[in-house]
Amino acid sequence: MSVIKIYLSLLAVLFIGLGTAHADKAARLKRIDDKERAYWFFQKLADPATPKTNNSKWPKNEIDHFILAKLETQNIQPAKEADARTLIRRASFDLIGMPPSHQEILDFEKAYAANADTAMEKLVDRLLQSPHYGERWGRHWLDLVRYGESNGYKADEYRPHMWRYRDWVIDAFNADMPYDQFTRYQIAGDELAPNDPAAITATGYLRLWPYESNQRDVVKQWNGITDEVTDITGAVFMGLSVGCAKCHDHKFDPILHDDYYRMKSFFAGIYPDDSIVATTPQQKKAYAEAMKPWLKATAGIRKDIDKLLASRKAGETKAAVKMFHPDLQKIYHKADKHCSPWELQQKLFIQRQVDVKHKSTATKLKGAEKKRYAELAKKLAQFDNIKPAELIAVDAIRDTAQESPTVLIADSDNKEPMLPGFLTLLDPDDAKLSPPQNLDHPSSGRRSALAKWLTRPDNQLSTRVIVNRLWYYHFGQGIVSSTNEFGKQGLPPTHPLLLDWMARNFTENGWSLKKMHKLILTSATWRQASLVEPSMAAAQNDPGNLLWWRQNIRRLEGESIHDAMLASSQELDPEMGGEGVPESKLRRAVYQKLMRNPRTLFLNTFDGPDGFSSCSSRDITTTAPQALMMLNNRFPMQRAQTIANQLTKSKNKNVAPLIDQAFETILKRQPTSEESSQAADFLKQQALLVKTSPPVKTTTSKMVPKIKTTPFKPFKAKVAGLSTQAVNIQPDSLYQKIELTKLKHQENDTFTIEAYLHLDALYDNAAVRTIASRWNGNSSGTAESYGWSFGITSKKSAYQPNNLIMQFTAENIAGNPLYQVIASDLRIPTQTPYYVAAVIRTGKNGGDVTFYAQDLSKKDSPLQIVVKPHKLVAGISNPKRALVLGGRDQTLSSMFDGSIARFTLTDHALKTEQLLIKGAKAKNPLSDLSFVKASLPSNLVRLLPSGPKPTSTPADPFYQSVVDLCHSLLNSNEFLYID
Amino acid sequence: MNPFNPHYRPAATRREFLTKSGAGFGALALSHLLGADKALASSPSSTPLPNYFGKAKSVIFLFMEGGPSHIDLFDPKPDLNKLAGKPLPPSFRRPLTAMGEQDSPILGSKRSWKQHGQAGTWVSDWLPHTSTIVDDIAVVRSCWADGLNHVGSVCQMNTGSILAGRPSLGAWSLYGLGSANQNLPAYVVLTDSDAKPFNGTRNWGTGFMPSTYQGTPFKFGDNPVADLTTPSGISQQRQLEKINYINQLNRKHAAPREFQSDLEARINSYELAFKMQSEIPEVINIDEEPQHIKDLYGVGQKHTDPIAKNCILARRLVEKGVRFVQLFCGTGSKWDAHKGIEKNHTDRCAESDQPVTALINDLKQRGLLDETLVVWGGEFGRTPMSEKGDGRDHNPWGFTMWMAGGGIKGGQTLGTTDQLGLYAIDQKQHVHDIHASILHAMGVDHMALTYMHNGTEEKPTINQGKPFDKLFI
Repeated sequence: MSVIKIYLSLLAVLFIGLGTAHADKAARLKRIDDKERAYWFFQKLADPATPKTNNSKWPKNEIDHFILAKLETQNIQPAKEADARTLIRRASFDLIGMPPSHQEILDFEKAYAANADTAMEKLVDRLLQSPHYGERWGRHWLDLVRYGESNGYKADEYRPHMWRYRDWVIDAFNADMPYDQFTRYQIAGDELAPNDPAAITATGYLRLWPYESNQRDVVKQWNGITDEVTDITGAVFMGLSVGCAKCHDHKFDPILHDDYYRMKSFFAGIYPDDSIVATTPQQKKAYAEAMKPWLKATAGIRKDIDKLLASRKAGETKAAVKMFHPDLQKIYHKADKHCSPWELQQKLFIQRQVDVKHKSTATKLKGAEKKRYAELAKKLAQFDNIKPAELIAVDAIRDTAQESPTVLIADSDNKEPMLPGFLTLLDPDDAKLSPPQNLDHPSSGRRSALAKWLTRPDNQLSTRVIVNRLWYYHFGQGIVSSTNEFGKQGLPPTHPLLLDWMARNFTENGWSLKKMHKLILTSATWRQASLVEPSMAAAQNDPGNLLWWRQNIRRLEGESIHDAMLASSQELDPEMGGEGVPESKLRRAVYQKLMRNPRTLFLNTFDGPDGFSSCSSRDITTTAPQALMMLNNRFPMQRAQTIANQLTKSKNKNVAPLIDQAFETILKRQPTSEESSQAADFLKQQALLVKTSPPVKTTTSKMVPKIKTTPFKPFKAKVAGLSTQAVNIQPDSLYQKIELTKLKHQENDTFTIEAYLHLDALYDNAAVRTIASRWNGNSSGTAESYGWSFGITSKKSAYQPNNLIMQFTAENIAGNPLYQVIASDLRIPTQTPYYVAAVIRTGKNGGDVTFYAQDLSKKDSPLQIVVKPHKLVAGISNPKRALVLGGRDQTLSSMFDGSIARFTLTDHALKTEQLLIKGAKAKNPLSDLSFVKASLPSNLVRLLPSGPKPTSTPADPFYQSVVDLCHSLLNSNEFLYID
Repeated sequence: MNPFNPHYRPAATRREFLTKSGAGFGALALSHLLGADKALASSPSSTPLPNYFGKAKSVIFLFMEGGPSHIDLFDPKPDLNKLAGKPLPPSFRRPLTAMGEQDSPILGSKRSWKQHGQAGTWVSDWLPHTSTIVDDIAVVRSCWADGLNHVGSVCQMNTGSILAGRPSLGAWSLYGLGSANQNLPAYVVLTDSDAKPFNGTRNWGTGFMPSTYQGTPFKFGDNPVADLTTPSGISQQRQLEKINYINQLNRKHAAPREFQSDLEARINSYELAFKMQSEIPEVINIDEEPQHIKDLYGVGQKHTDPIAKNCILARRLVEKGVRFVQLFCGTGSKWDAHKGIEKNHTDRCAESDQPVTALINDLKQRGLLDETLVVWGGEFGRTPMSEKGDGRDHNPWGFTMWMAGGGIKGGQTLGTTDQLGLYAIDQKQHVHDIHASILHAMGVDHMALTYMHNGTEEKPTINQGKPFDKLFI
């Protein structure tokens, strides 16, 4: 019945649509005049012959003919070729976003001297083969599609699966996926290649809109989202600001008001279903099969849980739905099968707000219900071992139904539904749709129609736009310099025929980006020097170098500055892909977790895109805050220190070779003799200043930098008594440990430690990740070294990695010092929110440690409890040692690396039910730190800033002067710019 | 048009470029924006604007984040108490409110009201201090905005649009007017607690413009500017010598690349950075203010201390030539009284009333008020309908803001809302109009200030709005 109904209504829509479209086609065409029609961008791709040039020696390929022919008309000579060193540096930053090593430069110089063209070709091939190529060019694409890993708006919730789209983009570039396929997958991968997980992941492109998770006006929200997707697609793939036609016919271009809504109509049916997985049908089938035993075994338990939560959930649903307009409430309560596609979309967004409420239902249970729930949860967890691993969740898109919601022109008297169609000027008819069959979900085929149109080899818009982008990224200036705007509001192409020739060449060569890169980079045009005096003719006829009589000097982007520093200090972790990492991890910047607010240090300081609108060209600003960051921020300073450590290892204080090495490491060249002597003078002077002018403590003491925190996210939205922030305590954070001061009194030898934490990484050696301690790490057994330490073992530990342990140095029953390690054998994995505790009981005949641990990342993980004896009787709580969180007293070894959300120390032995994890209130703790609003009670703690780990002592004037030299070279324009 | 950067015309000389980079567009934009004749000619005002244009050199925007209740502060509505407990009369168009309170009963106002000053401006008993300066301020009761939620509305009051991605008003003013102090950031943002304003940095961001024009947030009581302090263990002299060495390297690098003007600008930026390192700590050192000034603002008093310090700081910044100071009061939406408006607004007013009043008086006694535009207001007002029994929901359809100084004619109350204060009905002032007025006070024609972006000639008020002529002397 309902199928028939839908079918009928679909027919009706089609009928109406066809009827009106036909009638209004003529009217629409009339609104475009001949002059508009003649605008260059809408003309078919020309098929120009390679122009003849007077100078036949200079051109290396077709590109050069086009460039030189134009230069010759202006009597301008092209610049000489850049030197080998400049070429390899330029090519490396262009293609992989990182500098070549000094050795690579030397090798290339040699090869280049033997045969320049062959060397150049080999170089380009090598760089295009590098997996770093995808990281570099993927980032360009991410700029265009306004990539971000969070929702934006105030709440800015993290999107845990978005990074899979980023990895897909990087992989696609590395695999040289043909650009037509690359386009089709992003716009309609779900319809065109439903069995290819990569194609599903690619539709993440249609999920990159900012999303306000508590917006009650979901109608407006949907409208805004489909508008936004239309605008971005127009800009990214078609080079047109179609958004201007949202309210009226485009003022400057022949884009009709109707055309905007015809375009929008392609996206009207999208459905951002969070249950989409990127898996093959076989995997899906296997998963369903593997789930069966678990589903069967747990059916009763799950039913009981549902029953237990039912009434509470119903109440939450009611409260959440009440927030919406009465009309929306009605839609929400309608059964899906009676909903129109439009209503299904509204319902989805309402449901999301309801689901947020349901996330924490279980935590609100009280008394017997709470107990019952815990029992059921425990029972359910017992079947975890037969539960298959989850399928790969992605932020992807599908259609709501085969029928799409009606698109009407906003605020218009025209109430005709707008059917999908391309620009009237290019194709006035409605798009022909063939809804795909045999998908998991019915689909409209609308996006496929758009994707196919965009990737027709004769599409003069999309093909010109992409080759122009390539040109732009290789020259810092496009043939059309407004790379997202080819309409009249942009600038006309400087070389229209070259643009068309390249567009044709591109599609004829299988839409291969790598082939186009090679063509460009091996051209004489690209290989020109940038450092040339303009000839008289050039200065007069083309002072802006629009005709390319030289290369352009360019500043590195924020990511490249970041990556180049790490490459120079040889600290770059080359691992590829995966979930975004904190900035403290020394990975390429493209892998840093990219929240929309706030942005990362380098993107924020060096003109990164904002992630809200398409960024087709980065601004290049020169600001004082950039200089402050480069001079005073820890990141550049630490790189300088690392390089200085390497340079000063030999203890040879002969400065000339050291200066050579500093220049080679950072600027990848030898200093001139003048530079060498200036650097020597600088070293001498800075060393003297270290000795003679001690740092003046002026206002700096008043300025306490903020502690850094990250969200602490257990599976439940909220754990009682726990803030959502955790303070970063790690070697690369602002502070690497925190000293707790002004305790009411010191703990006795019987006490309780509790912590909510997230361990990022283990040590590669046997050192311990210390959670808290009152110890200097000395196990030699003097009374001076008494103390305790609570921590987690690392990779090479004798107790196996990830072991939760207590270490003591204290007095045994015989009155002698004893060092003892009490291992719980409870394993605390990295990258997981955890609750841990230790209750230390000490009596006359020794005592025991009760360890507690609970995994907070999974629902219903049990609280694990282990009791182990110890042989100590006194001296554990050593008054000479400070109580330190995340490290030990007076040492920089065995530091924590992660974040801690709450820490308590209580001066007696708590029983299990008195622990925080049991929902108990901390009773009279000596210390209770939680990290609300990213601040710590400054009267109670002393933050211990992390320092470098120099091989020389920090005060060593010579070492300090070498740091200054390296730091200066990292700050230099030569480092930041490419010729 | 400049082929390198399609946004604005190229620098003709290196010197000109330096004026532009790092410190704003400066005199360049001024030359074609300040011509009063041209500006008047292109102004969309139906009546010619008075011969008073561009007296404000600086703006201090006192942003009451969360939305203060206009009907409990500046816009008395006796009918509120008459209709208290009843739903909106049927004659009222039902709005869609943020929390779905359109049908909730009217909440009466417990305020007592008096007319103040020579002008007889109505101010409630929640603002005893402000009531003493009414003859310096112009109250606009007919403001309205587009957003329903804080995100959109805060975004709009700061950038003109409820959607993210546009430059803030401060950024536009820098782009248009440049900086008057080369040692300080020209656009400063102050918050009164650790909390973050809704939308965070986007409120003072530059959207599609170069980041040169962005606001620099000072964090209260902390390190006010990121990376402002020399790393510990390094003396100022050593830092200076390092900068000298870097610039020595950079000058050598720039010499054969003379056509690349940003290389020179970077040399300059290191010198500015060093100046900021010494200038900013000085300007933020409000301890050196005399005691009677601290007392005037309420420094050291329990409630007023944070905003008092910020207001003093705002004055000190303006004295140094800072162009635009955005001061968040109740940062993190603390005016957002969905419930318990009595306690909420009593607290908010106690925190801000005295410092804000002191700021006006202090500027005045220093002769700075004439050239400093002070703007007071939130992202919206609050509904006459109740929420949760004793609170009020968001009201973007009608609310009050006030302005003082910088050419504003004080002692007047302009515009009206309906009998309950739900909708603005007379002399309506949309956010775009308010922004146009602020720019007008600074001597910038909001329709003449343009920036090319993605092929569109962008303007600060999105091609809309006009200055409110009655506001000005």
